[in-house]
Amino acid sequence: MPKGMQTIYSTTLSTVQYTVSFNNIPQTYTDLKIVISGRTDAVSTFDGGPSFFMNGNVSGNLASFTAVKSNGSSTSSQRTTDNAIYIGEVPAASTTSGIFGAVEIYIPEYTAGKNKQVLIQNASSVNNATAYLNVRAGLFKNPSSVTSIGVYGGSGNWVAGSTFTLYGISR
Amino acid sequence: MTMHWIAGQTSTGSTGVFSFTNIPQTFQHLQIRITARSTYTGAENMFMRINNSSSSWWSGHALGGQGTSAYAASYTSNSYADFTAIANGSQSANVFSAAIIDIFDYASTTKNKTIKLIGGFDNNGSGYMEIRGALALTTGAITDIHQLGGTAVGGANVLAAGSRADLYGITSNPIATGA
Repeated sequence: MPKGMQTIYSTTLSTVQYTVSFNNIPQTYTDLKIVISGRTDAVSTFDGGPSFFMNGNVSGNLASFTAVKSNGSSTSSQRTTDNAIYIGEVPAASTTSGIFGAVEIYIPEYTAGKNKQVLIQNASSVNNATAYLNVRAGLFKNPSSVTSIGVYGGSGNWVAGSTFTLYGISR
Repeated sequence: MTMHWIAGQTSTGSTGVFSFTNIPQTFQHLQIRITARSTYTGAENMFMRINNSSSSWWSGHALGGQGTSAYAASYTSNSYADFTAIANGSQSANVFSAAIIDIFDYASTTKNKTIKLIGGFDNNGSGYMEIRGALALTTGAITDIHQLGGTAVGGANVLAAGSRADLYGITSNPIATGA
């Protein structure tokens, strides 16, 4: 296997969809990276609800994150514990059409017997008005190897044109 | 753009730092991906030096948060790059921090070296998240990275077994490769 980064799977939605899943993830890489260009149909300017989970584990409040975020005028920090890790705000239905948010999720050592620590970078801007910039550290308190990942749409569904790409990084 | 693995190190629980020497000068940028935890039970930051030097040529800025409020920080005339907080021995078992360090135009002999880091950890009730920039006022090409670790400068403390760092080279090759 080449040592570097390779695309494992990529999809562009042709219709609305709430959950995008990566199943049967190969166990042959060192790290994973997910890149999302996404927007939901929630009736608001932004949807702060998109999140992701691993191995179908959506109970027990085993997921949490620590965030630093800016909305263009102030900076804040937050922590949330839930069943999935929230990836930050993305543009929604009340935003000018054709504007999508950019999200990158890094999952190191997804096959190791460690709790899964992830890094999230998110930038979503809507036509020089409100904007959000997020960086987040997330944790899944589960040392099991990651074999599947699901990405929720939050308060709305992911709209057509949203893209989801899973990369494998090998050493 | 393509991304190539250059070298990697994994702690067996007896080292305080990672080092990369004889770095090829053939890439456009470097990227280091780290997952680490210190055995020290006090607060720990990640540090880095380059080219086997302790010169006080480092300055930097941070934007961070610990879950309740955001903060900013800066430093100048440091002998090392002061990076983000990492998980330590007080965190839950098997919680490691993660970080990505980008070193731009590392082989340039005319540019001072600008570095970006994003990193942190969440411990299901505590944690830190930061984005940092660092500047080394040296135009020398970076040929080695040493004393890279989440421990006291010089590696006085120990990185937990399983901590690792991988060095990647980033090309500016215009051929689409899926990377």
